[in-house]
Amino acid sequence: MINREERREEQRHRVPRARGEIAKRVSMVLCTVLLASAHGSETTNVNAEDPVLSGSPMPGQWWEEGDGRPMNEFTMYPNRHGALGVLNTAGPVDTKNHPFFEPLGTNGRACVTCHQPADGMSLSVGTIRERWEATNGKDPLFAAIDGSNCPNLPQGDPKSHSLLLERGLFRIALPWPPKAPDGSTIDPDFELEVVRDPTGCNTDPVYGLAASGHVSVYRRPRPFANLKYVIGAEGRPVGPALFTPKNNATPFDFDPETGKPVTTQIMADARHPTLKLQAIDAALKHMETKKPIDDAVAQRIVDFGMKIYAAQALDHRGGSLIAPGVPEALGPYSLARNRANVLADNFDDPVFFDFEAWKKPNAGETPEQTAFRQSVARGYDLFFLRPFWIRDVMHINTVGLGNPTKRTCATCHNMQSTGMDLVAGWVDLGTTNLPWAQDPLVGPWDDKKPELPLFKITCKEDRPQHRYLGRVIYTQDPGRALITGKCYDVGSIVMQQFRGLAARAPYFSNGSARTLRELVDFYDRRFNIGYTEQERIDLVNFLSVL
Amino acid sequence: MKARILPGIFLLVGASALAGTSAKPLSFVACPILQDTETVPCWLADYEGERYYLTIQIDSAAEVYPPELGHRALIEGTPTDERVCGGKVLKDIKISVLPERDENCNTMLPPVPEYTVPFAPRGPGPREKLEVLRAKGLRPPAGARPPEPEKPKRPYQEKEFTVYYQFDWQIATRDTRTMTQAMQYAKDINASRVEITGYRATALLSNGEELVEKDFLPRRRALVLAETLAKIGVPKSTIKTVWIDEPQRGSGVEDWKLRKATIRVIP
Repeated sequence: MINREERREEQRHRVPRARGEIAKRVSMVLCTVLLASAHGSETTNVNAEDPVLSGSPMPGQWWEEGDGRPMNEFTMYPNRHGALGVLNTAGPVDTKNHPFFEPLGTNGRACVTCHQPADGMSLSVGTIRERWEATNGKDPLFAAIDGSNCPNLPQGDPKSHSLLLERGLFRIALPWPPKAPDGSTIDPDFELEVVRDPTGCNTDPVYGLAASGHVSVYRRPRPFANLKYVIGAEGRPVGPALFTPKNNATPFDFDPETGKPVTTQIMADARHPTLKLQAIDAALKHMETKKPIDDAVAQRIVDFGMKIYAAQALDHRGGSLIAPGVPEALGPYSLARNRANVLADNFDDPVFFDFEAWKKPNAGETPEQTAFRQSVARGYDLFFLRPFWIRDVMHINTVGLGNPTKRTCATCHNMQSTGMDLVAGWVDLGTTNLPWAQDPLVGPWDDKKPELPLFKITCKEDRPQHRYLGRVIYTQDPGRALITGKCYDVGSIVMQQFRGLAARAPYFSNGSARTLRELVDFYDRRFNIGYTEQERIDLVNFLSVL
Repeated sequence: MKARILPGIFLLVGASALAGTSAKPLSFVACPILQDTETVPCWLADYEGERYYLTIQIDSAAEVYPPELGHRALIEGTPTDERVCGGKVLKDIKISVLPERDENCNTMLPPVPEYTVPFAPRGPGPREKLEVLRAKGLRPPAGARPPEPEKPKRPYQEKEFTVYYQFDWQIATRDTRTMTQAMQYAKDINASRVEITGYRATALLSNGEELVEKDFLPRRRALVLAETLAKIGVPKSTIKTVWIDEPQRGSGVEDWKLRKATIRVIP
């Protein structure tokens, strides 16, 4: 691996034109943002060539490892919908020698590599592709260990990084059978077989399941922002209960330092109880540190993250999302000032407060602005109030609601300000389990091939099965079950926050929804809701301003 | 919370439903039927030419959880003369969702004007404001809290806690409070031993058939409960698991009480 200075030098020589173009485009975008801020009437410049780019920042906003420039208290990062606002309630940060911004391991990556401010502290496919082009695939982002489909593939070939370049997915290697927090091996409820292995990594003689005792799944990085909502007020779940009310009498996990229960909301599978442990593990696995980072370093990373709030702050059609008088839920300042841990599937504390202010024209609005804002308000009403039959969702229908249950989006997405699930939010929505998971049916007349691995799960006779999929399940990613070993957790993924969506496509843990429209369409198909075209547009507009 | 919601339902379902009934308890296995209404759905089941009302959709605080399409259910309760959604109300109902899938259980009936559930404490959308629910008597007054449990006094006594299961289940989903109490008692008295005993049972159905729980359940119930108690704070070294393989024979009356595991906390 080349060092940072060599890499910068190489980039300077390799892509002078690209850098110049990017700088010019950024200037143009910034002008657009400023104009839009002033007038709120610019049209959206969505890239028509590849829909996934509609959820990416404008190019040229990459924050390089060890960049050294200060991070302002508040910064607007332009994207195709408008601009994302990133607020640091601790004020400006000197990033020089800051462990979030500096490479900590052997592969040149820092935390910021995969948690880019312009991407809502996550990473969009648009940004990933931009980095590939700018560095010819040499950026530490594409490190073989997890930035390629499998470490032993030829690293200069974009095909070896197809899941990252096409779907924004990093390889996550997890021990199988799973390990308990005390290091003991869990006796799993099921057998796991590799049925299909398009990346080759699960059958690889070195990295494969049989050889390494690790299973490779592919997942999106989550936003390192708005974290008080992820870990809960005071770092613990609501109330004194030891059990999550939703998961088969499963106790919450516990913070090994305090002994207190934790929300179990971190990462797609909730495998780490605290942000600190997650930071230590991320340094080992993603940055390839030779030994675990010190507690103090990990704590500094966590302390930084706990002050960061990210949300869309400007929409080209809707105007400013942080100006006085906008709906309470909007913008990063709202996230900073509002409470965490609020159960919001109710009229006392609605999930995203209310959008009444946008239901009628307001003075000074253009007709386009009014129309867009009314569409957003309708989208929120659909989210909060429109019932449909929620069916066969493990850890939702199984919590006493019956199957099916007649409820709304807000039943599951019930945490105020983020739309996460307030309690241990892993559910099997069907994003990774067949038959609902997106999985192209391959015909002899096209060259489309499945991209993700497929596993066969066979539940043991004396163990509880998955309530809705039975004893034999096919899945692209067993999700939480790779941590617990439970059949009923197969395909369960922790819900993500709804914030900064306009800057970090694609969506779902496996990147299967390239756009917000595809995300809405998935729900419509999954639950046979029957949204009209206008309702789909309204929902997309609503999600895009969060 | 359970106690808070139930009176509201029964008040409105009709006191006559709960008034003295001499009917014999019923126990049967059936596919549940979803009868939609303009608000939340009713759950029903047919047995020997009669339709029975099981419950309505509420939320996770409900005393009775609805069954699930895609699964048959063991239904145990005593018929009354009251009807809701066209079904006879079953008093003291217990519903076990049978674990195995049954794709035949898939009946959803559309709403019809004559079936309504005005007693539903919660509709199909967000919960109403608390002040509205309190005015309807569906929530306790603001600030009401259950009393703190008393700390045990010396000399400490051996105490037994019982958790109950749905038929053929190995996880006691509704008894986490009992598990917490057992853990707390074990910690308070610094228990020398916590003995967990797993059982299985039979259910005598009204048609004379005997339904037998699977033979691995006593062991699994004991092991799963031990794992859970250890996770919430009972020292592993004090936990002992035993199980009784022979099924406890049901008589058709309150057979659910035999589907259990016990936690004996010994000073």
